[in-house]
Amino acid sequence: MDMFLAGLEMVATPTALAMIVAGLLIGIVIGAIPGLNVPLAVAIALPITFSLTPIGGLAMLVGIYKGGTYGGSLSAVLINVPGTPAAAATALDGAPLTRQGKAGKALKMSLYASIIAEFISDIALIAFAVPMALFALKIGPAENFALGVFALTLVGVLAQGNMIKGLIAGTLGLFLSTFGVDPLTGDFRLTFGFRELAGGWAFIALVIGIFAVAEVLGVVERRLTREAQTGKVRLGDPQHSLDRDDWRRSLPAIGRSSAIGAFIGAVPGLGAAVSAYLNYGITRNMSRHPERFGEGAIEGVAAAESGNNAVTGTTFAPLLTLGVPGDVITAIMLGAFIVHGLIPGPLLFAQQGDFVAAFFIMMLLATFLHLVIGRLGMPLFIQTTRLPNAMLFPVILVLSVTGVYVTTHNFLDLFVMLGFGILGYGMNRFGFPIAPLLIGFILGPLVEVGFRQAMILSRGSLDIFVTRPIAAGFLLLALATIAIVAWRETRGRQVPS
Amino acid sequence: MTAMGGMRRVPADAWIGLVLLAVCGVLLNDLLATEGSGAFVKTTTLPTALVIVIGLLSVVLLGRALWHAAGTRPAAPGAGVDPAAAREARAGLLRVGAMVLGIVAYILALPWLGYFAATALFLAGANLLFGNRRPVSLIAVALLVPLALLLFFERFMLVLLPSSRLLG
Repeated sequence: MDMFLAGLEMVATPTALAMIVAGLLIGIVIGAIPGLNVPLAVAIALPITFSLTPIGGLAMLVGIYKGGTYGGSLSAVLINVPGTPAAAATALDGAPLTRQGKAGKALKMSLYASIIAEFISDIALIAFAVPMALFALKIGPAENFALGVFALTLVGVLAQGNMIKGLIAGTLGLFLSTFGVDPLTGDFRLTFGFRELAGGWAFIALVIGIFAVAEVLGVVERRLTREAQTGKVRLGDPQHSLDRDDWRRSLPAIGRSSAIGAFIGAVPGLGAAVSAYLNYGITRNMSRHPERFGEGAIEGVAAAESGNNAVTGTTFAPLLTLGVPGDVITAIMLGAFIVHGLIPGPLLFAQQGDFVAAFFIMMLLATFLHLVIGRLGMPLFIQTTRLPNAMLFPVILVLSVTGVYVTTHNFLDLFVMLGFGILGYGMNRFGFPIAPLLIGFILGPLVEVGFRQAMILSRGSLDIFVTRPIAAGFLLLALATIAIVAWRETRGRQVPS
Repeated sequence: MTAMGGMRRVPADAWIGLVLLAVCGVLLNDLLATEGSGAFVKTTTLPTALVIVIGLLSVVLLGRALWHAAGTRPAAPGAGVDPAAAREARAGLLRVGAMVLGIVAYILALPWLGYFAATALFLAGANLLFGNRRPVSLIAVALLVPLALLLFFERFMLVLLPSSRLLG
């Protein structure tokens, strides 16, 4: 109790509160702009935090992290251009809802699902930080491979009804992830003699290309088919409001995705994009009406967004308890801890108990303020639907080019972005789903590195994947998913539509 | 969805399958020529396996498309084609081509004209392509958006955007 009160005293200062609000505002803006990413914003804000109190500085960084993770969904829902890779899963159903004139519904569900997931993740961090971190350390290469394979089966889920094209897209995504230097041996592969390809395809260029540029090319082909809304858009209108049925569909998805996402957050190296797609796929697979997904299913938005934001709390578990940063953002934040004389790890809890309590309170407070700011900003965000195509889409292209440039500072990546834009446009035009390609690209390194490292550990024996219980469990889940997909595909062919 | 005129049209999926097969051939050739290293699983094992899978799936796509085409009656020349829709489809593709060229020109112009000028020109052109014929909004968007982005990135985010080699 003393620790709690001492922690509360550290957080309940105008500086700490102002830093959380500033961080959230910056994060939401950065997250919503395609190409700008949260690690970039956290890295830029890092020096600012040096002059603040430890909790004040970290409050700003946590605000940016939480705001940025959510911000990507705004552009995904409103203009079908995900601000972050993880928000691409939100776009699958959020953008169709906007096209149906229900942008407010999608935005509200996106915010509320994010907040519930963040809250559950914060509580999981506070209650189970140590056991979660210790369990996460048991996730080795074999488990990473098995989890990757399980997540890859979602390609089949997302491709239902168009299996061959979905599988081609998913395999192509995996293949694209293998370009450049081999992460294990350092050998060059598929570079065709170009030094610029040594690092592989820039992730940000691929994501922005196949979503933003492809969307713009599709719109310019059809020219002004999207009618801009006239008059002020009001969130209270029935088509923008969440009803009881929306919540009935979404709450189970939010609960499940938050739990799975909180676990994924604690495992170093997985991250929000894996969680968002994994939860979207699981929710679709468990749905009695999977055909509604991709057409504006509100539970699709709920699953993707809660999966996305559920990592934001537990990603700190390995950092705080073991001193192991799980991703780029927590690695940058580790710098902020060290600069302020705080060494994350077991001793942090023993020697700086007040600070740990303050950190936990600050996480919860940031989640609450996220809800307030997100809700207050929503009437403003939704006015984007009033912008005519002629103005909006050229600006999206400029934002895309700018976002890729500021991330990579490489003009070649702008052409890579355009190339993937043309590929995405062609895929849309000829009925190839884009989501499997992105999933394959995200999971490729996890699957390949996991498999090869596991083979080295087991000296070439495949037994490692069945003798380790967690890996075997994930592989069994993968088999079950394949069986369900195959059964549905067969049944779909038998039942005339 | 068809891609070519004639007595019996070849479906677009068949063309896509053929193109994918050709690309797979080139990639496989490159991968087989690469000497992979690594314990138990080599550098080139996964990419090679994936190219083979894509190739097999392309064969299925091609075969399925040709099977469907063989099962449908060949359409009479010009039958079922709305001339106005065909014209609009061609115009749409031309707009896409123009937009792609516009983006290429924009990227090429960035280091020479600098961020502000290149972006302003691109925004004006893209607005015209999208059908915006109102000069005030066109000029306002072309000037205000790059200015706002320039200030945001260079002053607030402290990230430099391309400067002009020509204008200094």
